[in-house]
Amino acid sequence: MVEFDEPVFVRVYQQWEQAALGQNLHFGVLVPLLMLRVQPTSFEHERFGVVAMSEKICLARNLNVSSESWSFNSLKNAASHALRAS
Amino acid sequence: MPSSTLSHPSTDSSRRSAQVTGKVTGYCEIISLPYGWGSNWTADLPDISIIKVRSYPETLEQGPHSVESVTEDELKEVGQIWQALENNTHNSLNVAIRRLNLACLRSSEEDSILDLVIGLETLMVKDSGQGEISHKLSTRLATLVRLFPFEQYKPRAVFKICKTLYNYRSKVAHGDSKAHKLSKVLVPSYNKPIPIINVGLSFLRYAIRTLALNPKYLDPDEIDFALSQPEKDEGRQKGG
Repeated sequence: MVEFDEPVFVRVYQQWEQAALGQNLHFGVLVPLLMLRVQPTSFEHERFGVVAMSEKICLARNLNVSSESWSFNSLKNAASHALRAS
Repeated sequence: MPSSTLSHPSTDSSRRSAQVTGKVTGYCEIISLPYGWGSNWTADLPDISIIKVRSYPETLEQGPHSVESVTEDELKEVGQIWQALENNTHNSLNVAIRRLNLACLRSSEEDSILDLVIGLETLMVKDSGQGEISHKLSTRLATLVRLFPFEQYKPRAVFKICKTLYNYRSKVAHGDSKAHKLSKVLVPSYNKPIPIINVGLSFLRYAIRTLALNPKYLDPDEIDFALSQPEKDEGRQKGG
């Protein structure tokens, strides 16, 4: 009997998922802007947008911070807005 | 060092940053955010994937730094320049933008000056094989400022500063130990000398913006021809 190993399963499953559902799995690309505040809370242009990052995204960005320096983390967290590809 | 990197996050055009606002910024992550799906969750947080990058001036990590603000008008201008760069077919603009980005990211001023002058040369001195590069660069940039006014700078001041900028670059390139003597320069409306690297960054940013919006002048012959023409107020347009 083989025990269920989630990380191994996910690796295999994700390949299948990408192949079968790739066109249906939409995602956005965000680039947090360091040390920059945008006066309107959001801005839309034909080719890009600048959006305020939600609290959940900010928390998700900080799930793995242990290996990074204090100064880097301080800088990273000084991003409130992100550039978004349109 | 002032820099502003507002760029397309998903393609190589992130290197073609629209250096518009002059704010000190950059980025250290590219995030992929799934819309309505995911493969792993922590609590109810989105399942984001993060790619680490280092594309910001080193100074941002060195001690306190104030958060700067960007206005809606500045963002509109970023959009305008972005559009112009996307429509651009001239490789010289791409090279100049890459050099501007590199100059902003360097930790050494002496490295930055080399990038800056290469960027300016790429835009203004395509015919570098004939005649003195420094003179051509200074004359053409001054002419561009005559056509498209730039902040408080007069063409004569631009000509003079540009000569000093190129001289500084040459001393750095040849390892001259006295190069630092040219590292500051007097500019209009400042009472004391300021780092020439900051002036160079402004010049290159101005040249990129102006030429992206007025690509006709990417041909040096057009600038040389403009130099031979009498100055006309109605010919002046918005540049940098």
